Amino acid sequence: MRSPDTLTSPATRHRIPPQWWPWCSTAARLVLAGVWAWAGVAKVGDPDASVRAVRAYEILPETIVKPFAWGLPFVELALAALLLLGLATRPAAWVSAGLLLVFVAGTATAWARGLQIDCGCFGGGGAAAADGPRYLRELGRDGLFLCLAILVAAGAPSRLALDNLARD
Amino acid sequence: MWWVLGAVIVAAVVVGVLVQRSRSETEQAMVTRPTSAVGPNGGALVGDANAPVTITEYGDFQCPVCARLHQLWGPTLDQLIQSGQVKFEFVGLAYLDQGTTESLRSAAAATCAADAGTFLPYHDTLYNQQSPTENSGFLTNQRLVAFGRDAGITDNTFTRCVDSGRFDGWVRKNTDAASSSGVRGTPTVLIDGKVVDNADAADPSRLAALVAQAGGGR
Repeated sequence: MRSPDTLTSPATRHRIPPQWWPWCSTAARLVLAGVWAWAGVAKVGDPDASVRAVRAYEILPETIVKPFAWGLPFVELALAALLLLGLATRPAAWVSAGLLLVFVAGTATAWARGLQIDCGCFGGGGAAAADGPRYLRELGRDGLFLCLAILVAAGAPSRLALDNLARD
Repeated sequence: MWWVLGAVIVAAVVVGVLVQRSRSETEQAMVTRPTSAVGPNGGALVGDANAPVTITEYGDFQCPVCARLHQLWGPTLDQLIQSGQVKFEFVGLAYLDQGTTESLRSAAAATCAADAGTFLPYHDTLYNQQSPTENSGFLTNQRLVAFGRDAGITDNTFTRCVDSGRFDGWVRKNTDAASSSGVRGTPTVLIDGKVVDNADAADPSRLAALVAQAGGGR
């Protein structure tokens, strides 16, 4: 019979080896870049729909709605480019996390206020689907993206990044 | 590295606002007003202009709930219009387009049909023939023209109107105005400017009672 100290605990057995951490961070960075690219491209083609989607939250004053709706897709595309290249990676990931928190808060308050809207995260004008809003799914999805952003921001430095050239 | 990010974000916001504002203004500037009767919200107006009650529907021809409402309230609404109790304003919106222009072009085509004097039959055809899937590519210009023929439009002006997107700017303008005035989804029904629950609108007796209450029963 083996003594207990020779047994590998489940936590140890499943722990990711440290040499893999930078690659996990790289994967998270690239997925996040893809998410921002998708969100930006989906919105950039229809500025009026973006305005309607932002207006549907009934949070921002009308004077801010249009600049916010028009600027947001370009910010998302800029974050996508920075994360894809691995340039200013950690700041871009922190800003991503902040932006995702804003989205989570906006969706949660829309739900709490009983609004019947779509988040407009990936295009569209904020009109809810025929079967109603999907707040839980949207919050879960944003929560997952938030975890990725925090992993990139606070985790190991990622590979295949321009930041590494500057460091060398 | 924060300065790199700050510079990129500021540049993105400035470029984004300038580019998108320019595009939005260009699109909304190309507005052609229909020659047919238009209601206070920019929608096609049918019925007796002196009718005491106005029913307004903000609808999207891709919206399945709108098509369902059309089935449920259609006969009652027709009767109320025919009896002169109600004038009906239909504001076609482009709320459900996602990477497509099917809502936009169908609402614009309905405006072409209004100018051809055949609004209600065309509106009925669009709802009755609605695709079960939104943004599927179903509402091509060819099909929108064919629906016109089904509704009895034989004039080639209608075909040219649909193909040229003559009222696209008009629909964009109405859609933006609807969004600004708080219309968050379709269908949104108003009786004399007051929003009515869709369930009430869909029920013939409750709809008739609401119209009577608003002054249409006099």
